Amino acid sequence: MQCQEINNLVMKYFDGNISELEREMIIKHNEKCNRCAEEFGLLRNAIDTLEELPEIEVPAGFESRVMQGILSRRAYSTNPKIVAFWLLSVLGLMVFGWNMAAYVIMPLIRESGIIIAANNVLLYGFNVVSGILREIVITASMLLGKILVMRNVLLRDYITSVTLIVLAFMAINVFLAYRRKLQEN
Amino acid sequence: MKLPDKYREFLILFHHRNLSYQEIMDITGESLTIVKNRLYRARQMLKEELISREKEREKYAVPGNK
Repeated sequence: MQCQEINNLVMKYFDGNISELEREMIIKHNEKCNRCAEEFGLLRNAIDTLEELPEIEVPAGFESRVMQGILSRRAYSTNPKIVAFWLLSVLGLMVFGWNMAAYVIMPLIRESGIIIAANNVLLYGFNVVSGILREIVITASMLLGKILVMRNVLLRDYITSVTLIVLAFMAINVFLAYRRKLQEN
Repeated sequence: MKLPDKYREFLILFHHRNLSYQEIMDITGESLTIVKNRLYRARQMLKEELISREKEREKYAVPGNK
């Protein structure tokens, strides 16, 4: 119990706010108690050494190099948030591509190609005798016109949707970059 | 020996850089109680480490040789 009290006084000693009386208490106790004396000596040696160590100046440019190292490492990090972001992006693009194929490209082929062509074949068959050339010209021009109209509509929709999606991705990226900058500051 | 950083930092600031409590509070942003506590714990840990080293040395020292 006595040693514990002396230990507290020793802490005060190293804090530098110890009274003369308390200092004498330590000395007196240490004369009687070998263990405390030894501990005190060890600690004082260590702290004296610590106080006499030369101050090491950090070399110029040290901090900027450290920060650069941190930033470059972060750029290639496998931060789960960033990985999730890329996965989501790729998944979104895949869904988008599938929808484009299913609802735009396939209908375009179907509408413009097979059905109208089949119709044309029928028309051609019925009109073999009377007006082969005329029918061909008329259906071909009708077909061409239809394709052109449809293509314009589809192209417009396609461009609109692509623009919207690209804008959304840009907005997400800008937002993430901004938030990361906030976190860094 | 390796004191945990949060203790070593306070030992260095107080004993090596000779900063006051107030200055250490300003630098680390910790309260006075935490600064005092960390210093106390740091010294205790340092002492325990030194004592265990001393014992280690006595164990392996060859008595009476050289």
